[in-house]
Amino acid sequence: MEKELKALKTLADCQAFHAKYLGKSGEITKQLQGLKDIEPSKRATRGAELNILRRETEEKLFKIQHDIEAAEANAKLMNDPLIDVTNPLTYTARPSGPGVTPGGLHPITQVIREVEEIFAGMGFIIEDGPEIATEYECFDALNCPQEHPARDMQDTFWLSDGRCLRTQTSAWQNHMMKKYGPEFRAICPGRVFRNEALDARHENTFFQCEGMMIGKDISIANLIYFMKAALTAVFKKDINIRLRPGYFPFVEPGFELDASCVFCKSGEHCPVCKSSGWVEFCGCGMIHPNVLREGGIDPTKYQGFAFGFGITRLAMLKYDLNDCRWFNSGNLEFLQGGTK
Amino acid sequence: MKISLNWLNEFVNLGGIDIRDIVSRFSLTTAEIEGYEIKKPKLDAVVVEILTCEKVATSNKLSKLTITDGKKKYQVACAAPNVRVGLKTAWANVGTKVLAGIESTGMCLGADELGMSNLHESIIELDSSAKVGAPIAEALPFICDTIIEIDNKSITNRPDLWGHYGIARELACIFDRELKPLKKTSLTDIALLPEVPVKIESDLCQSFGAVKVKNITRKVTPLEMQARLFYLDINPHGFLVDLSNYIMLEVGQPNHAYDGASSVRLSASKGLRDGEVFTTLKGQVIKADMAEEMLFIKNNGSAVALAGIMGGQESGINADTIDAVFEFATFDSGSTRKTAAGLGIRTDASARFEKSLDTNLNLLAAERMVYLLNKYDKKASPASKWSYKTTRETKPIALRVDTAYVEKFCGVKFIWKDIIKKLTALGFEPTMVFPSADALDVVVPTWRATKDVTMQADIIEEIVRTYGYDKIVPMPPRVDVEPIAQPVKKVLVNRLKDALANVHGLQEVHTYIWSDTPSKLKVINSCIKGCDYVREALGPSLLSIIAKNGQARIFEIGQVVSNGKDEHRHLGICVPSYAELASILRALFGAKFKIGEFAGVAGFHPKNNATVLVDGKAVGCIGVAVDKDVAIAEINIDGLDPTRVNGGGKTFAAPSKYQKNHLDFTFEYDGVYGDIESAFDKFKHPLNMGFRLKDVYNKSYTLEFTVGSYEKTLTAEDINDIWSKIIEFGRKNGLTLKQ
Repeated sequence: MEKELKALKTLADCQAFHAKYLGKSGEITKQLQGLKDIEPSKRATRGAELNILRRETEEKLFKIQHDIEAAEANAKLMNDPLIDVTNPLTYTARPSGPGVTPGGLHPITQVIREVEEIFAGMGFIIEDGPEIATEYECFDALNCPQEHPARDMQDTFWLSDGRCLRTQTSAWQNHMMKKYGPEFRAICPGRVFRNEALDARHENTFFQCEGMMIGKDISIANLIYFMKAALTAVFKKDINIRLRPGYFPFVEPGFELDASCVFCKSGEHCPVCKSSGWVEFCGCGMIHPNVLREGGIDPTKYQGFAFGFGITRLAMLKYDLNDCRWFNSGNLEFLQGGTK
Repeated sequence: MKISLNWLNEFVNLGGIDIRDIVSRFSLTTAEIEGYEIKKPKLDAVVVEILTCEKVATSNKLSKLTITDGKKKYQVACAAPNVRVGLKTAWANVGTKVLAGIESTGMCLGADELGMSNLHESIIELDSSAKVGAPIAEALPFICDTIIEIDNKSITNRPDLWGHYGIARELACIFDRELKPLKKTSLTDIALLPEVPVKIESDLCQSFGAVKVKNITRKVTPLEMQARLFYLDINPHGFLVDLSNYIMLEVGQPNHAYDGASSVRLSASKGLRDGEVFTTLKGQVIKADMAEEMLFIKNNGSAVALAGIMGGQESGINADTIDAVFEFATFDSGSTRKTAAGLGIRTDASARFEKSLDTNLNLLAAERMVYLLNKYDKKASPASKWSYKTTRETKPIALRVDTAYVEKFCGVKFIWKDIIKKLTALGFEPTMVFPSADALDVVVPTWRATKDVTMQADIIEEIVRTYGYDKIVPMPPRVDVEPIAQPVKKVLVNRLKDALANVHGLQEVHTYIWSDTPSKLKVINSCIKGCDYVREALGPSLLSIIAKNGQARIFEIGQVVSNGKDEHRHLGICVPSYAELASILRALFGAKFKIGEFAGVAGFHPKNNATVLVDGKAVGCIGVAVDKDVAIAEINIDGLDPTRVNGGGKTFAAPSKYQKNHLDFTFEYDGVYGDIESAFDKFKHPLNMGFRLKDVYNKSYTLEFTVGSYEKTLTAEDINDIWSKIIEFGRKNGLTLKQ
């Protein structure tokens, strides 16, 4: 049978083979029908063997048929005229005129650009890290040792080679310190991944922006200054910020940063801040001495702050969207946007 | 975690402070509060007294009562077993109906009907001093409470906040109020009693203490205790179990009780005996072969509890327990977490042990428990001394902080005597180092010293959070101004995106990093089965967008992997026209193409596909995607020069002041133009100023050469020379001049 399978060259061959072995009166089918005459003690084993044989033969035949079909389709396509792309005169003009949708940047790109411009204007380097991180970059270098409960706080997508999809842009902190340290300021916007079920407020793939500033006398007062300046520029309104204690292993002290709500209208319930006047905006803090040390920076000489905020969340606030799934939906009607 | 305001008030008087202030100040100083809930009696009930009570003949449960609310008498039918004349209880006038032939007005209430417990066997028994006719909240003030919910995630680093007393300590510090000492019964001055044998046989147990109590007769938990537990989502079960939970919620020390009728010899060790099977209270079965790394509490050698997580089915106390042994221990945080996570059991106890508890809590919790036992059950008394072993006792930590450094770190000038007062309120022992006052010596209390506060930065946090983050004035830093070179990779992406969107009219899209096309790198714990390969190309994702939207002009710049390990950044483009796609890439990168190398690749048109070359180097491919009938490009943009995107990176030179000449040549060639182009790219002649393709007709290619010089006007000989050299060069390269 194996030999016959190898000899199949056309679809007609395949059909003949199918009839011979697998069809209504094919050999395998007949043997299966004959099971009832076999001694009951052997019936189960023989039946299982035959069923496996039938399935395997079907699969092999299917693959051969598929290859033949593909080859035939390819042969047909070979009759198509060759489009000589090496010839610069072979050119189709970009469609234009009324009714043609112009191109555009993804809304997330537009928000990232805005953030980048603000921080670049304040002298920050705009860094850009990979999406696959080692366990060291994502956890160990960030003061989360193996047994640290913080590893539970994030649902990590682990890869078959032991690395992971970065759960936070903080995974690039160690690299930034080694590349630019000890005194620098940089942000690193990028895509991060969390193993979560999707709903209107949760995506497994979203964007964050990491920021770091390290120097000889960088203080909490400086952190507040930069965040206030950046948020004021992002929202184009004077923003107040406040810090609350927050726990992130890679900073000490760690803060949750709230921004004054720009959406509140007097006298109405505000769905964004639930009328509290404050919107939780990001986690931040003074970089933990262990994190500095891992980055090759002496924590007795240098100190600094780090922050990480959600670009996707910022985009939702900016565009007044209540479902984060639109960004990765590939829905062009959404992505092309409209005018207000 | 839920916290009762009544309970807190037992330790710190929060009178006169608005709950909203408590929520906001606690959130700003300590940890996030998710919200609060006001608890009130579920029914509008008053205190009544039972005046008469007789069994109803037609019912085996009902009694017929006459009650009074002080103003009026009512007849009520009631099924509770504890009805009797003279009893004061709670009653709500919910209307009149007929029960077993008796007219009954309103109802006498049990704790469950008032919403303060789950127990409903009997009606409330009020103290004889209760004022008849008064609202029930006056007789049972604890029925009204405010329950605050703290975000668990925000206190993972604070083992001391996993009990009411710790929260009370924070609030005492925040509002400058006094923290009352916990009332306890000393167990260290009853040394004459025998020991309960306890033994530590594994490092995973840091400390292990036990005390035996005899003559426990109380079965029903006091109503106030029931209400507190119930409001915090713990259903009352019976006095001893409730007391055990109560102690955990009060001081944060999980504990376990064992029946003390027969001899108890406790030990903590890893693993089970061969063939031994341990079944948890919830019925989970643990066999010896899976238990090697798990810590158990054993009584007379047999496992009775999974240490720090859950008791076993046969260990515990029951309704008949009169003598009990209480265990207070500290277990390794990592091991507790690992075992609990491995078995998928998370309990209130394991949640606390995972945070690294203070071993000194053992005795404190034991002394508090004996105090409460005695308070509610006068006959109960200790039957053993405090029996205690430890391998790793939590000790206070001494730290020195540099005051000038702290001020620089925070950007604040502090008044140090205020700081010392706040730290003291939290249990720290700060001492200014005199005479210079440039350092503060701080002793960290044991409940903060397990891992939370171990270095200077941790003390700074305590200083600045109790000082108030809102008092810090934003300040720009002083920095050296230096030119900043933005990383090339980022600049490239920005320029490409601008060109693609604005010049070529393409829409940017984002797609997921995983795909259903097999690759060597897989997400091993994906929730999206079958779509768990890390993509090697953007193409399939872009085609799926075309499938959803129909024909479109889209691009994505995103990450892919090759060889199952190296991450690259790709540009993928999808447009309807293959010829346009080629011209986009020519404009973007000055790309050239080599046709037909992807003939065998699935999905690609066998003829209309090409390798994309930038500066002679293959960087990707383009082709017609057969089943969607769109053109697709996949380019690895790592290493491309951002300055050259879309015609950038040009050089500029003054044009020659002498006249240039244009010479046309038509060559016949049975092949693609790219061959001719790459041939003539190598043509060298001093007068050659470049060439372009002017026209193609039927395998005839017309090339226009520009010839000229910077030094002179060309003579007829000059032109003839280059004319013949071009023709000859063509001939050598297989190009016949068309006559």
